[in-house]
Amino acid sequence: MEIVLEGTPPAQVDETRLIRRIAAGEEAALRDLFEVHGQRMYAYALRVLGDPSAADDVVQESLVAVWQGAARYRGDGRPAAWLMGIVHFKALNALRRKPLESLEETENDLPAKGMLPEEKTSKREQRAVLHNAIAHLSADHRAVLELVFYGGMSLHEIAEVLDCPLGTVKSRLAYARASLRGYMERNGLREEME
Amino acid sequence: MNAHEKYRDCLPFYVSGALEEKELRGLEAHLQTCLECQADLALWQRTAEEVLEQSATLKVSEKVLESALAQIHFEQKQPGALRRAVDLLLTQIPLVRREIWPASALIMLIGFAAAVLVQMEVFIELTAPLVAVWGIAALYGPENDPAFELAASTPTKPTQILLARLAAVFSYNLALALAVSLAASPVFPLQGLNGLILTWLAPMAFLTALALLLSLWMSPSNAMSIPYLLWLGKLILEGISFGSEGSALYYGGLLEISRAYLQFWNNPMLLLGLGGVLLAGALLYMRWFDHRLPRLV
Repeated sequence: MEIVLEGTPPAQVDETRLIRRIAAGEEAALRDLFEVHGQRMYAYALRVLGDPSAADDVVQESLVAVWQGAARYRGDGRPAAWLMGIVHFKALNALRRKPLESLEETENDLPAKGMLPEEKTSKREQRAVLHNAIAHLSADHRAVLELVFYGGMSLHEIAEVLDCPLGTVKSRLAYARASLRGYMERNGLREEME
Repeated sequence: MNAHEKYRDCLPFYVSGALEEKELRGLEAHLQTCLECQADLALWQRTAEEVLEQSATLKVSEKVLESALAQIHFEQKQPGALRRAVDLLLTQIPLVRREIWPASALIMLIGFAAAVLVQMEVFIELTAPLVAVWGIAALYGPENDPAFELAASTPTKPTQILLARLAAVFSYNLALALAVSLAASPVFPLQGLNGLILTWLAPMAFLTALALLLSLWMSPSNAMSIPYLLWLGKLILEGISFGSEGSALYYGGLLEISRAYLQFWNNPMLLLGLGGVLLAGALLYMRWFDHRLPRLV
């Protein structure tokens, strides 16, 4: 079963050439890059930070960094991985600046407690529980899910973006799976998930 | 890692379509028989749908791109680091007390004249560090600088202002001392670079750094007094130690102390090193002070 990602960069866009054009100082190329990857960059930053305003700032800082660093792009791996690596770095910096109390809070982070069993059985409620389960993951684990499912990246590309070993990506995915399953079981959704 | 664990790790990428062909067939065969992986696959599929639904519906504002471009344009218009340093230096020179420049030159000239007249090089050695100390002690701070509050309200950091002024005044004093040494060379033979450094450059660097650090805590007159006393003490002890063996310094261990003190002043590397430490201390203090400074804007 494959899910076709909405917003996946079209195959005809030569991303390497796009980076080269940015390195040459072509502003239109930066606009093209934003058109292709802006949403993905924003979604990733928002997933890590949980704050739309901070995510906007991260995307802005990342675009400036791309403009300044495009000449240093070596062409190893997919340009998307290089780009998301920049976004990841900027998002981590923003995360360090962010007050502790708001780190794991999102506006949709509704408590699952208090639901009646019959309410939980509806599809809508199942999704709400899953939504909360994802929101309860740490920024690192949410980031990996974002890169896998929305970024459409391979294991190696994610390791490149996060600048960590393959085993770390695998262990984060394993932890995310266990955590999601545990959260859903605590909310009576085991049967529905299988 | 057994086959089950290997395939279980592949499941998220199977769902996203990022799995390589060679792993795809093996995983699909494994899924036919493994209930645990089937359950995990269902979990990942729902998770993928949820992540996609959340992220795909997000809309990034065009304003973000425009803000990034505005920032890029702004940074492109900024002058380079060297140009900024020169600009800062040029803006700080008029803010330094104006009397420093002619007074320093005059005192050096008097020292030079005295040295030539009485044929004693010690007058040049004496005046160079003292002139430098005076200039540096009166360099910065609310007592010295009517533009201090204005400078404090600008984006330029106090440490940068301090460094710019230090560079300007110290370079001026260095140039004065070098000019006087060169002018005196027909009368007193040059001792080479090492001799030059030993006699006044290293003590000058140490004493000015000390005066700078002290001037951040106390008034310029006090900040000048301590380095002056240290330097005059060296010159006095030098004179006494050349005196008769019946000198009072031979009693009570004072001779050892005075010898150690003179050795300290005759060690240029130690003096330059200590000068560097004191300068770093002054800059660190300014950085700390900057955080405590109430901003006007």
